[in-house]
Amino acid sequence: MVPITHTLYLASGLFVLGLAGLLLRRAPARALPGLVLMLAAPGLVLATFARAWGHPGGQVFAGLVLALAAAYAGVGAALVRALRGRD
Amino acid sequence: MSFGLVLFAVYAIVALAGGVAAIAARGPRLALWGLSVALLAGTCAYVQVMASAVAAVQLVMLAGAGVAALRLAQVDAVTPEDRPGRRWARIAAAGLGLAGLAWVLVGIWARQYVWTGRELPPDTRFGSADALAQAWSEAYAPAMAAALLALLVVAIVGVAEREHRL
Repeated sequence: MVPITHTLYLASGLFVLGLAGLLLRRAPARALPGLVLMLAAPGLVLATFARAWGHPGGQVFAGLVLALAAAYAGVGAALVRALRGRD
Repeated sequence: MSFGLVLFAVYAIVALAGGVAAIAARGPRLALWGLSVALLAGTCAYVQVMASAVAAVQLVMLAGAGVAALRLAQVDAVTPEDRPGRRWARIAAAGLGLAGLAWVLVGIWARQYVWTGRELPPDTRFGSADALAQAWSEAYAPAMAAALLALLVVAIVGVAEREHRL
């Protein structure tokens, strides 16, 4: 197992990249990948600390965060399509 | 340097490069590929921290994100480009975020906290799907069921027509 700090670095990098994507992309369709990246990062942090403390609760919530990210992506895609259809 | 650390370095670099491609690519197809690569590399991280079931969830999410992105690719072709007026402000904000991350990384590098976590027994089922299901059903299912029930009631009230609202 790698030290927990290493995975925390990776998660923080993914989060900041997603935040940069949200800030830099004005079009909603282009901002969605940034949102998915931002939501993937806390899932990684939860799974990392679950392993570090030997407690499976963090992995349960990591799965929930990932499901939430998938739901956000789906709702975002539907919203973008609906908005474009209204124009 | 152990094999695990080398493996981690490889997929961390791949994940970050995929993330950069996802947010910086001009075309939606390249952004989709970048996001897919970043999430796939993130799946390796889940496997390395003994969260194989969560990695499977991540793969399912990757498939869903791919479908959503493919649908959005049609929309994106007609989406207006970023306005140049506020673009520099957003670039500056993103640059500040990246600079903050670099500052944190450099600042704590000298005080690296190396801990690989608690020792687990050799025959542990930690991270497997049945262990997660057991933990979920024993500790989290009642609270989540109550929260989902409240969410369902709010959703029903929210989408009901005005004359039928509570």
